[in-house]
Amino acid sequence: MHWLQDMPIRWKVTLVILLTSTTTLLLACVAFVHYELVTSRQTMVRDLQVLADVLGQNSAAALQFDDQGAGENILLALQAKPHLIAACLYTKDGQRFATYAIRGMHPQFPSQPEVEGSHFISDRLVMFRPIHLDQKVIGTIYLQSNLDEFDDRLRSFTRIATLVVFGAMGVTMVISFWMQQLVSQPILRLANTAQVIRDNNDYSVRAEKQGRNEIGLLTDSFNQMLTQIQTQDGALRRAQNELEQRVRDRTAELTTANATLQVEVAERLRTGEALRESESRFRSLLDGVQDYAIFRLDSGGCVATWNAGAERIKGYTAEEIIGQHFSRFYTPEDLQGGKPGQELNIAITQGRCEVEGLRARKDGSRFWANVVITPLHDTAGNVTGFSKVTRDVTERRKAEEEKQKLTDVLRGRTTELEIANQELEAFSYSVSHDLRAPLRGLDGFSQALLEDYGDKVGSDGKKLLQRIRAGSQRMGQLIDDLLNLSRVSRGELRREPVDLSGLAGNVVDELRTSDPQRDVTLRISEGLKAEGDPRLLRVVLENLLGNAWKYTSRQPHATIEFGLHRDNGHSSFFVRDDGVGFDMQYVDKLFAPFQRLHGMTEFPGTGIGLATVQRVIHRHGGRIWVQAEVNKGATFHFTLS
Amino acid sequence: MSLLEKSRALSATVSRRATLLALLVVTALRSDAADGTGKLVREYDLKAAFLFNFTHFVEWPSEVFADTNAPIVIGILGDDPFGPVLDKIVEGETIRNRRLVIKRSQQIEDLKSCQVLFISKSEKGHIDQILSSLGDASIFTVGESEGFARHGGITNLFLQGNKVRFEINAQAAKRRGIKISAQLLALGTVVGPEAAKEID
Repeated sequence: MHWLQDMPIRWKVTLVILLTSTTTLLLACVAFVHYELVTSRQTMVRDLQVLADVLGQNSAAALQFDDQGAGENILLALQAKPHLIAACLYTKDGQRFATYAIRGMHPQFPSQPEVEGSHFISDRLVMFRPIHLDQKVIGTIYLQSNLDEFDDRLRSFTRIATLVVFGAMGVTMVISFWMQQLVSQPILRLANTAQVIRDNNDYSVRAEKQGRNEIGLLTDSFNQMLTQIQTQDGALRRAQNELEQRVRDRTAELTTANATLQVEVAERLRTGEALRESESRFRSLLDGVQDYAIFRLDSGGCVATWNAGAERIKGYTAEEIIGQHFSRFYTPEDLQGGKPGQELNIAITQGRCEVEGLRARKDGSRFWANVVITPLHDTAGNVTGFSKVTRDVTERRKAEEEKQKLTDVLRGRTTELEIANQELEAFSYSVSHDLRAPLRGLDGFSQALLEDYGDKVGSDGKKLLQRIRAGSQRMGQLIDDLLNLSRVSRGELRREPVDLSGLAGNVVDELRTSDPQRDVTLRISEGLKAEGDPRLLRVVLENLLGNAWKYTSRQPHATIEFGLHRDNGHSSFFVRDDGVGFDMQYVDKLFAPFQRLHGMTEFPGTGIGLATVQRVIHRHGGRIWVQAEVNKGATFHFTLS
Repeated sequence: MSLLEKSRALSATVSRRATLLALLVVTALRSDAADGTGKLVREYDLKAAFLFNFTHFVEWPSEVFADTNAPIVIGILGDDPFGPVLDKIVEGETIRNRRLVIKRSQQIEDLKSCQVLFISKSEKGHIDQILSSLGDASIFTVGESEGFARHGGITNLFLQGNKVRFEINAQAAKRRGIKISAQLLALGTVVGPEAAKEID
């Protein structure tokens, strides 16, 4: 069937239509011929029956009156029907009564009538038919017909059928040839388009769509495919151009590089000598290093070089160790954990491996080592070996452990102290609080005694009562200061921007109000700002400015300053007065609570103020110090961070 | 004697003898054997069969019958030459659903309501009287004397060789309102008044 596959589509379509229609027509013709055959046989039988009946009816009287001549006359009427070959009348008793035969024929008549019916014998139709008179059978008629009429009909019908088939085939061929164009034309056009594209390599050509059927779909798909090919072709061309450009560029680069290389080779030759020299210097330097074990491992981990430091630290001579695997430097525990391999892997993957751990010497003793392993690569990037630098850090390790121990002790002590301090503060706070109540009673009752019984105790008694009151008031002040001191130690430290100049101004205003007759010049620098707790910083300024105010009270004219001092990039606030000052040899006592450099009679005070100030400054992370001279005033410096 | 031989041959082959023709032949044989005057007996046997057969091919106007079931009456005027043969032939037979009845009489007056009237040889002398007394009544008259048909009768039976033949006067039948089948006309010899005059 290859010839059928290779047949052009237009022929195939034509063939299909032709075959289909011809087959249909042939089948129809066969059916019609068959139908005609059957019906014409039936018609023939029917016609013969009618003829037999008519003849029988006509010969009834002849039969009844036994007139054979009349019977034969009746049968002679059959001469008008040439296809009737023979006829015969039988009496009721089955006797031949009258016969007829077409001229030239001498047929054999059945000697007796048979049962009613007809049958075809080769080229004859034979029929027996009873003759009735008044519903009674009075005889039988026998007819014999040839099939010429039937054959004629069949022949003419076959002729017509043949003519119809050939005529229809002709018409079908014309129609199918015209119809096949509907199918094959779009395909042929598509094929032509494809051929044009193939011959010209022109992917911008598009097939024309003809209708929305499968071919239309095929055309669309074909065009889409062309678009894709066009795009890819363009991309391919661009890529090719790019590649060519790159090849050109690369060639140029290579030419340049080649020239450079030639220059470099010459230079290398020159520098090679210098390098070898430098290397031998480096080698002797390495060999001379005593504090570090510096050696090389090959890619399998075996020792390749050995220096004096390595011999000193690990105890092996170069002859003993070169070629041995480096795992012997590890302790049995580390070997079990696979340490040597892991460390080499880390060095390869991360480019470096630094570890600290215990290592074994030749004599089995152990030392604490700091090890740095670095992989060595050839130009292709393959690992060719490792450099290994080992340092004995046992001493440093011991010192660190010692330091750690001390730090731990210190931390413990500090914690204890902090706890003790907190307890102390709580104690002093509650003591101060509880002390105030009996003091208020003491002062109050003394005052009542003076007012109500002053005349009864006398002037000496009054003096004594006044001293009781002064004492109790002083003690109250002392308790207030103590409370203050403990308050500044407790509570959370807030940090916010504080206008120190403004704060100092407020404090000074209060001092002037409490002692308006004093002649004091106050110089407060403007714009002094700090980060800190405003409440606590006010306590600092109250105390320092208050002290300055107090210790200048003997001067007829005093000067007090608050400002910022800069010295070598360090800055500190200061409060300066030109009051009585003090001897610097007692400066250590100055910031301790309850320590006073002056007697109560000279300058009143509790000796807690500066302790409070120092506590506040320290809590801010600052520092306070003082410079003074007897009768030349004092200057207090402080920082806040 | 070819008919006799034929009858003999038939008697051997045909088993059922109750039918018309068989009966006719059997009767003929028996008569032949009984009295030796075979010719006469056989003649009247055939004529009896003819008489019966005529009723198949003749139609009367419906008025002649009292009703649809009224029988066809065959009258025998004069001496009866058939004997019981005729009675046997018509027994049980029906023509177009009518039975057949035989009525015998010497007086024409008795037989005027017949449909078929056989006028025996004994009445040869006054046939004209009989026919004129019947007038145009629709009666199929059958005679057996020369000139019967020509002189106003419808059918005349006669012998030709040893076969019974008949003449028919179609004009006379037509005048009496009787239709005769073309087949019957084709078998008989048609005669008419014109023909009668020629003979006269």
